[in-house]
Amino acid sequence: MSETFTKVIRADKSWLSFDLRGFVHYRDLLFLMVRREFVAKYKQTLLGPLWFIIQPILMAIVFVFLFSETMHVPTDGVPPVLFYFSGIIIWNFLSNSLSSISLSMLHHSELCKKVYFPRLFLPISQLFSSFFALGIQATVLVGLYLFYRLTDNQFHCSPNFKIVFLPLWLFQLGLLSLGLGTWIAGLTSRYRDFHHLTQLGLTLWMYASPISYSLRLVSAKWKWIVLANPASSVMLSIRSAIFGTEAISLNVQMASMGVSLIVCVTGVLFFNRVQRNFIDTV
Amino acid sequence: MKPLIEVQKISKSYRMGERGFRSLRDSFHFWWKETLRKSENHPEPVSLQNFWALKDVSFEIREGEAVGILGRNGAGKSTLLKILASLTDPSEGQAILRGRIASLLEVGSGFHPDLTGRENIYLNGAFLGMKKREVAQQFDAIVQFSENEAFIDTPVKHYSKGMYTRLAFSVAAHLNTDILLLDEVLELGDVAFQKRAIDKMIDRKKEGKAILFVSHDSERVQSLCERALNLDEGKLTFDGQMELGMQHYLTSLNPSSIL
Repeated sequence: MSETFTKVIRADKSWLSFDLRGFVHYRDLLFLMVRREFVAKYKQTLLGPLWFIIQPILMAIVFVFLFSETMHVPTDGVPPVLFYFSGIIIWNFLSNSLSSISLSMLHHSELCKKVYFPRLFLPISQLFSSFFALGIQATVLVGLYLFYRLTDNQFHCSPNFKIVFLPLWLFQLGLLSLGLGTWIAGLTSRYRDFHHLTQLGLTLWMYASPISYSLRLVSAKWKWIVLANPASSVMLSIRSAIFGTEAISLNVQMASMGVSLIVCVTGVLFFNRVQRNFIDTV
Repeated sequence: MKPLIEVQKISKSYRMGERGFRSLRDSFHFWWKETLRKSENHPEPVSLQNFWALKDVSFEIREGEAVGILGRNGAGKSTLLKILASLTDPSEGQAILRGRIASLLEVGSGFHPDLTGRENIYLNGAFLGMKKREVAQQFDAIVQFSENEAFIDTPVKHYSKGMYTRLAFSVAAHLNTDILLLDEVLELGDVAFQKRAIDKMIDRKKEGKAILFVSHDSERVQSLCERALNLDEGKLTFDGQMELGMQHYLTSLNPSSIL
């Protein structure tokens, strides 16, 4: 018997009480859960991890036919395939991680009724597994980029020094999806309405994000909608760093980072409060 | 030596109407009805009053003690174990647990159907708070005890209920925890396995573990536990020797047939 494992279970815990010792104690579990999420996605499939790249490639091809070949929408001088593919994989990360995080508690309610583990591991493991998928898709983007670079003489898009901020923007994407996801997970555990609302919200949000259009095409009157959206600031910044397209102002970037941070901190606190008695209401 | 488990005046209440809420519409409907009721000064309907699944339960469990919890369905046995396993918070009171806890509240806790028996042993061990290394040390013993050697690399979704039960129990029983919480976990195993499982727990008890055991099989409870805690409608009605506790329990089941 060791004092290090002494645990006090109490009724009156504050909003800020986190089981930090549990996080350290259960760290091996987090690794296994991330692995489980990732592996379970392509168990019993023939193509396995290839599924992570088939969908964005098909989407990019559809966008090329629809927007470039049919409607002749300009893409800031970037080859359309690269332009769309980069937007699609960033959006996919956000939308997939957000929906899986928002359902993580509900989908594992049977598990939560049986064993204790830090419940925050559920959203966090979803987030990590989404980052793995993004990593696979990003290598395809790099491959496509090199293909254009080597085969197209007129290709003039090159990365610039801002690429050092790439980890920061990815971090912000993580904050944003973890924050919104935990908010929705907490609310969905009580009211299933929020699940339907999420699907609707994601569709609308997708159109407000510059996945298939460049910011230049948006009329001055409505630009604020795109700029107020923290996802666009990340998308535009990443594109500007890897293709040298027009950057957005530092103020907008800072504001969107601030919003993402606040969403994440409040979401995690809310989730932590809800999970304590979650199995009573599910 | 301080007790491994100290439970001090633990209570758990559920608001009876609350558990069924599924959508915002229901909530608004409920809120509107409540507002109307209050404005007209009607008394609170019984269905909305607090229901105490546990009320002021206190006890201590020391090293090497195996305690059986006796009581009818709905007496609060499972709620008590859920609180001690940190699955849900108590409404009042506190509990101090000194040691590592393994809970086996339903068969297959933490098993993933698509993963193999081998993968699930590690996963389940991690859910019980073990390091990979600690599980690896016990791996062979776990597999042997579960009698699933031939199927250890088969996904557990192809396991029978009995194989599932044996594997889940083996993991929980072999890991190095100080406190074992078991809720009706042996019912699905066959008689031979139940016997081995009880023997295994008696060994763990002798090593100084504390065991809290819920089972409707009075014979099994009596062979493992020397002490009984009786719960009735959320209250602790008896705490003492197993034979006396069992008598008390049987009497409460059928008051007219006192021998």
